[in-house]
Amino acid sequence: MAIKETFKKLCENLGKTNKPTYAVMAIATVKGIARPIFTMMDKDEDPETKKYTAIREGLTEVVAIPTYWACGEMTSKLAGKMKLTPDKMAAAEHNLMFLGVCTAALLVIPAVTSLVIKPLMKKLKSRGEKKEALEKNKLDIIDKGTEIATVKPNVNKIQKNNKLQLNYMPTKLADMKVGGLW
Amino acid sequence: MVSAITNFLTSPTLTNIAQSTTSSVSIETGMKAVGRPSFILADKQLSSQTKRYAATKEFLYQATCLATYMLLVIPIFKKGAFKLAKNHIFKNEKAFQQFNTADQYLNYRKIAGMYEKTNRIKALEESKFKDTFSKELKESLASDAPEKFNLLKGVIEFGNIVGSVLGLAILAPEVSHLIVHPAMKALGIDKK
Repeated sequence: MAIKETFKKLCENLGKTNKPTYAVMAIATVKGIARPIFTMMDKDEDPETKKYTAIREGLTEVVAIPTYWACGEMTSKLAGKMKLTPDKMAAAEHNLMFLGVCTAALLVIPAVTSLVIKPLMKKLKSRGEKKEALEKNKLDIIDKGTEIATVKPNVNKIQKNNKLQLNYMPTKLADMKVGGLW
Repeated sequence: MVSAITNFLTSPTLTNIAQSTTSSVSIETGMKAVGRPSFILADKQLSSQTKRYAATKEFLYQATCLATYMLLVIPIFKKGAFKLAKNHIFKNEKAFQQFNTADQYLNYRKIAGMYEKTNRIKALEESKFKDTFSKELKESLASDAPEKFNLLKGVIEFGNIVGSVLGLAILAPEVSHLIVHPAMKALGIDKK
């Protein structure tokens, strides 16, 4: 019963004032969580590419959430500068908030994304490439070492074994020859 | 000029759009479909081929998201939430007994949102739902302060928000993932 009453109150408030920021912020929040998870779950993609795509997707939504809220709230404040009756004032505040959200989607978020996220991703990518290059160099040294240490003695051993076998066989054959088979 | 801006900002049509989750989310997605590719095309650090590829991909992604949202999410969640509330959650609520469908209520709400009584009476005469409204509802629309039935509006908007989140954050990206690459290949932009 308590859940039903809470839900009823929530719906009544939502019906009275459904702010345009509610839906876009809810979408951005779920997108910010779900999209990076889906990207990381992709089995066909390279792990490094997945990591950068997931970070970029997450950061875009992290930027979008406060931008939607700030643009909506700031533009709705402009209604206070107009001389209106209370019911028209409420409508103007609401409509200005909607226009603020539209401006955020059309201009502010793409601009902030290219100003903040692009340079940040470039830095992360170059740091990742440096780290990768260092690890590659380390691996090369280890590989050369193991090649020298393991392969060469094995070759000698095989050759020695072969020689031993070859040396042994004629003696055995010679013994047999002596023993009367020949 | 000032009065034209004031009239636009207080217009009931704009209020209806701004109060409706589906309309505002559709418009906002349309804005994204224009804004994001435009910013990619304006980037001077990228080569023209990269810009063309990224901008087309972004536009197609947003356009498919919008189409999926309008075709699948809006009809299912708007009508579904209203039916679920009317028949199960709030079946004893008087407000739900006044209306049969979500569209009928939304039409009533649109008329009730008009400031002038004369405009409301005129809109009621022109409404396609006129004959389905009860005498009580008609009287309410003709009064100085019509009843708005906020619970019904809230239920519809709650369903729309849930549908928008599931549709735009989870379903639409998956659908567009299936469509974008073949579409780009068909346009000759993706040659892989």
